[in-house]
Amino acid sequence: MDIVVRLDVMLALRKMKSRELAAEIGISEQNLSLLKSGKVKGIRFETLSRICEALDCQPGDILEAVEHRDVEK
Amino acid sequence: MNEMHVGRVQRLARVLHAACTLALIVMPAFAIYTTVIGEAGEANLQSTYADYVLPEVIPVETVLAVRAIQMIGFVLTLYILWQMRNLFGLYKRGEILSSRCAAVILRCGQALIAVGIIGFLSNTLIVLLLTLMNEAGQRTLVFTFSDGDAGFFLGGGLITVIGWVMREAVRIADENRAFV
Repeated sequence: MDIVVRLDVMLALRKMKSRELAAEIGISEQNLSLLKSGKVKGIRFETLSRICEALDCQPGDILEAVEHRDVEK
Repeated sequence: MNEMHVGRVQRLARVLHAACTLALIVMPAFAIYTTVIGEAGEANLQSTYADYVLPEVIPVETVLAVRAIQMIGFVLTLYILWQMRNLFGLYKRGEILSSRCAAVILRCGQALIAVGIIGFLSNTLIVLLLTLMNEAGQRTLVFTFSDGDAGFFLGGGLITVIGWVMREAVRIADENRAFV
């Protein structure tokens, strides 16, 4: 299984820009961009908690476990 | 590491960097001075190794060989100072937890161990060289392990271990930086 970040979807649903979210949760836009593209080794609970609070969602709305083959597609 | 601790390291590193630079200038200059005024000659060897039965006249080649052996330890000491200067230079610039720092610490530790080993071996070699011209029965083979040699060896071992730990700390810090 692979973990896929669905932050783009939640941002679109909440009609929020990446820049606004980055400012609200206190991380750099660059780091948020890396997170959105899944190019990070991990996400701290602290960051996840702030994102959930800002987007009014659950961790499961942002992170999704998918089969490895699905990711390659 | 918070800003206050980094600032403290930088301040101390600035002083130590200057001290290392000064030592790197003074030590070779002093060595040249002692050679020029003749303190590095035969008479000096006769007085330093007066505890052993030495030939009345020590050949120039032997004096040069003894000084060459002593020079190994001296050059290694300068190398350690140079590495320390590099390390304090990195700290001065605020680069504290990096692979470059870990590598420099490791080199310092390994060089200190080498100084300890050479300190032990050089005395044996020097006394053997100086007494080699004596008649059979008056040649001396000594093995001495001074407090200084032990200090360098143990200190070097400690710094080498710290270097390994630093390398691991850098790896963990890099991994931590990959977390958002």
